[in-house]
Amino acid sequence: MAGQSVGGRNYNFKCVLLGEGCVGKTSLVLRYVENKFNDKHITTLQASFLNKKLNIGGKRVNISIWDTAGQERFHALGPIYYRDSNGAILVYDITDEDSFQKVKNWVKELRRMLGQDVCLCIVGNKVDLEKDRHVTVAEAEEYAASVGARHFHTSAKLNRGIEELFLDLSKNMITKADDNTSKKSSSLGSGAGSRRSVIVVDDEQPTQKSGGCC
Amino acid sequence: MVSQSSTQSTLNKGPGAKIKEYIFRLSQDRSLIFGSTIDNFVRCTLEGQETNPQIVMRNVRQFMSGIKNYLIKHGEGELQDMIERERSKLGSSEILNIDSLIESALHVCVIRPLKHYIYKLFVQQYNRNGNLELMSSNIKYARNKTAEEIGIKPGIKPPEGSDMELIKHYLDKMQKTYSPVKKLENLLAATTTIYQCAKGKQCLPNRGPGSLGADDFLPVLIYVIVHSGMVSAEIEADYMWGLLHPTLQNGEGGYYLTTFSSAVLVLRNFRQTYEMNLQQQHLLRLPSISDMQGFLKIAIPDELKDSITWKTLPVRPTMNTKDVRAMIAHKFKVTNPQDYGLFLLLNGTENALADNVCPQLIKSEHRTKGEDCYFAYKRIAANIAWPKNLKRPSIGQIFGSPRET
Repeated sequence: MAGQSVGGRNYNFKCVLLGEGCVGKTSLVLRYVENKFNDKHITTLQASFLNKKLNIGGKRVNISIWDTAGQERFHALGPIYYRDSNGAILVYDITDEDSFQKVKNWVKELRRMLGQDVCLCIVGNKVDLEKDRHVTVAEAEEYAASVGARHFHTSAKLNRGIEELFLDLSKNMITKADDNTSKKSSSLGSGAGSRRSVIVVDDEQPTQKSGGCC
Repeated sequence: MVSQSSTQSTLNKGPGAKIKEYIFRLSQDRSLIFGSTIDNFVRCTLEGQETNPQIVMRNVRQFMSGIKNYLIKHGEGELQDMIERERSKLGSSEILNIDSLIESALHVCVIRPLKHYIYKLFVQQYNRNGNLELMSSNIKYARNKTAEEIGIKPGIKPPEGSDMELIKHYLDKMQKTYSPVKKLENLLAATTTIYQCAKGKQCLPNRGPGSLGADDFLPVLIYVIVHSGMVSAEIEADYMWGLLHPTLQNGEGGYYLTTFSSAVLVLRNFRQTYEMNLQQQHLLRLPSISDMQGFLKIAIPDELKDSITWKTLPVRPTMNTKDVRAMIAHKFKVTNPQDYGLFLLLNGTENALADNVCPQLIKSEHRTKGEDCYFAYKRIAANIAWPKNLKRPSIGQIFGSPRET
């Protein structure tokens, strides 16, 4: 809209949130979007779909965060959620080795279905329960590096690592989007593949957050 | 961002209403290129041979984009003047979104006359492939299941009473309207109501009004579709996917439409998955070698490492506790077998087995009652707190994965 910095680009990213039930996916985003956490999940937001706006060095970024149902029986629904995603946040619980295994399965699936275009971020949540850790830091970080993913440790409870995680992911998505744009302009779109890599919009539209006052 | 209010704003009575009305009037005038092209398209579609609703909808979307471009580039009648006039009336913070004005006008001119036809094709297609029947029988089946059996976590109360009526009301409106945008608005209104009543009702002990993440929301939506008996849910979802402008498929609207579609997918296979799970729980729950009579899986606590080692041993149904103890002592070279005993673990508590009973019989007795029972071989004097939920090792572990020592 008028009055906004000229030359700044607007980025609209879709980011899917994957992980077993109970690893704290929902708490993590709620903490990020609303910066509110409590053991009992008290909040007024609709936690399944959330928007967050960022300004990174003059670049305006809007991230739509798509939560997915983590129960095993809903696993097959994955593809219709992560379709066209720019980023994926894969959450496990550091006290639960199985949940880390699930993350590995998701990584394999995402790489197979979306290739290298999607930015992956593996997140070990619940570091406030460090004493019960069952997934070692070394193992998790080595694994992330081996699949070209970033790794973060977070605690939704203590609000630790969450800002960093989303900031890093956003920067990665921007880099990838810019790369794709320049690739596209240099090779007339041949590298674009079948999926929309990023939606660049000129106008900023007001976000409607339920429960918000304006 | 698509949200209920912003999709609504594309159809509101603001400065754009006159323009929209005018476009509609233009479409009725067959002496104009605009009106006659639309008329032709609608007639050709209705008389066409194409029976696949997806293809028909794709043609409709393409046609709307094309005719919109025509209108913007060439204008028609006094459209340009009218836009200028309305523009001069705008407040300083208002805009005319010409794209969405034309889009919603075209929904009236193009989609409305085709709605019944597209539905007819859908019904034919889903009758042919059996999806309608499948959905209908699964909804009937799921109706007799409790909220928990449908997948709603205990502590989250599904909508009921007047909340449910309100949700049904929106879903009903969604089905009646021809406009894909209005359908989406009504879907969003229904989901908002679901959230609101979850907020008021979700009452785990010490839990305030809560918000549902996808883990919780999807099962509630499935429940809602079941209890509103919306057999045509798949048609509704596909109609929206096919006809909504792509920009409306990205944001919040896209998310809830995706969730709606995934609820349909889950429901269509509800009975099959449900019964398979039951089978797995009761009959095939433990598809391990020890389920065969003749084998017995025994937990051996490692007192040094504070862990449990599982061993699967050949134990014939006729062998009694004494025989089993002797075998284990021999196999694992226990030097002081008199200090060890065989125990039955039931719900985390251990009971010593008398020498003359047969462990295989005890196992099958509990199995037929649907209870989990486990056997442990340990030092009689050792005090061991067993986990409440003794997880049986997976097949991989039984066949010598690194975890088995």
